[in-house]
Amino acid sequence: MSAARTLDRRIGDWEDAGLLTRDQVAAIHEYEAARPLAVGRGFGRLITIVGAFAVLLIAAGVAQLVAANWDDLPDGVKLGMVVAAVIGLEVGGWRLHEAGDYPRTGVALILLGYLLYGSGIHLVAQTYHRPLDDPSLLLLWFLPGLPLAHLARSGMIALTGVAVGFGALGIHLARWLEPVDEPLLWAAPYMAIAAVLLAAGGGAAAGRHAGLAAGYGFAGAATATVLLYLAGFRSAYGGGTGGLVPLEVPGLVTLATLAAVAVAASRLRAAGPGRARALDGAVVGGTLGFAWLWALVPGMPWQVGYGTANLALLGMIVWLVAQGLLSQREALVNLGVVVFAIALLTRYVEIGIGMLGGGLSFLGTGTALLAVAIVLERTRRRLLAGMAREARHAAA
Amino acid sequence: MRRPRTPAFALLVAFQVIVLVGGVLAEEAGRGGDEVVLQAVPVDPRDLLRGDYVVLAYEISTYGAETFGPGDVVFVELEPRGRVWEPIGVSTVRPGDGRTAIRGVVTSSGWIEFGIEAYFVPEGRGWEIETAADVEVVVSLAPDGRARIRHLLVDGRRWE
Repeated sequence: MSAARTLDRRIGDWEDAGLLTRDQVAAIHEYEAARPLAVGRGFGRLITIVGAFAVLLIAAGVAQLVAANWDDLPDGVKLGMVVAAVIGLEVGGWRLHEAGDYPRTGVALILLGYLLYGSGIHLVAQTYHRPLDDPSLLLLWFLPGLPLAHLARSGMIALTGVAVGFGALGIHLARWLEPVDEPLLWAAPYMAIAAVLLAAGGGAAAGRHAGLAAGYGFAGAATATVLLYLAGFRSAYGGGTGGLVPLEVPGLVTLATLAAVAVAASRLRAAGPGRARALDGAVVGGTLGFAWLWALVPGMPWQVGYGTANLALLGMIVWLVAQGLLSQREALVNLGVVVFAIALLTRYVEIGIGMLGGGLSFLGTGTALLAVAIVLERTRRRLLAGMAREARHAAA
Repeated sequence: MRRPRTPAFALLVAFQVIVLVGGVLAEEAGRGGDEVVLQAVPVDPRDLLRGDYVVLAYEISTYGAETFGPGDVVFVELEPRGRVWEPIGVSTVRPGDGRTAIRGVVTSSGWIEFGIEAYFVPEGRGWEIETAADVEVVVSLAPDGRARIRHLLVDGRRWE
């Protein structure tokens, strides 16, 4: 049943129940007829999911077909196929996107073209027997990613670009930090970049780049939360034998700090100050604080690192849920709830297992897991129901 | 006024095409340098995550590496001994006077990596190299010492 028909049926029910007058029903129908996209918002998300799934299936199918005959094709033909596919998919996707009739399908095609471009870079490397862990390969893949996301206003392409960029950074970091033995040093540049992403995902959420901002915001929130979670373990501290911190690490953190401040300032100016913006600013500032702490004091006493990371993780979870509710972004609420559950369980295992016997600890963990799952599902439903009520209020 | 976005998008597509085609042209250009033959030892015939390829270790991979630290860029000077080229010195400075040297980076495990440690093969044929008695690698050296694999000699014959 279509969303419009479902709405009609529900309105009819409400009218029969005496909740709506005939005038109100007429006003709602008039309002919805003038805003057909509002009714189809949920359907739009379905198209995005179906589009993404279709892209993955097509990519897998093409990869299978081509792989079966790949060895028999001359190198020039292989590269020609990849280049032609990149151009065809991206140009075709762009035309669909700009024409306005199939914007989501267009974005899916552009994303597929971008993924093929990355495969093509690795194909060239493989053809010439170059090592595939060369960091320049991922860097070249990353470079057009965020501009493409910006032009197509796509959070999905932005997330893909960020993931590729993080991969490139990881290979660089592995090389820079090879002579250094400090456990949390690698996390500092990632945390600083998470701050930039959080700043980019902040104030623009209500603007015309909402989808893009949501992608950046989610990437930043997920990165910062995962890093705080990892830094919240006792084992993340000590054990390192030290070594001179390579200049690349504080250099990257400095660049990211400047970028985060500039982006946050421009967002604040565009959206105007407010309680939510102040909270966004505090989260960006706190994320940068951890980046600098890990970059400059990698050998800190474990009590300091452990304590601050766990406190910050708790604050981050509260912010994720609050920000999700305020900005009507379900993904942030889900992320907060899931991270809370994982953190709770792993802390239980970390502290509880040592204190209980083997059988008892399994029983306890299983029971706790069930209880947490039930509580989380109820909490999540309540939060999402609250969001729906808020949305209805705003529409009224 | 809204800025036209199509030219910017066209530039991004062009960038991607240039990277792909430029990568091929750069590799082809780099193959024109001095040609040397290095003695290799196959280590690991397959990595499930990366398809079929042979990991190559060289006799020169450990030559003098213990005197340098991880991340150091070094040049191993080579001289022909019969068909195969062998190391005669290693330094962080590239030898001059037309002497032949290959550029590598020292790893934390005490090896020198030359960027020619992987050779991709058609699926299912890695065993031909793995089980060979003698594997040599024909390598071209760019003027800056960077190496590129041209082809393999398996038991003295060019492997196709």
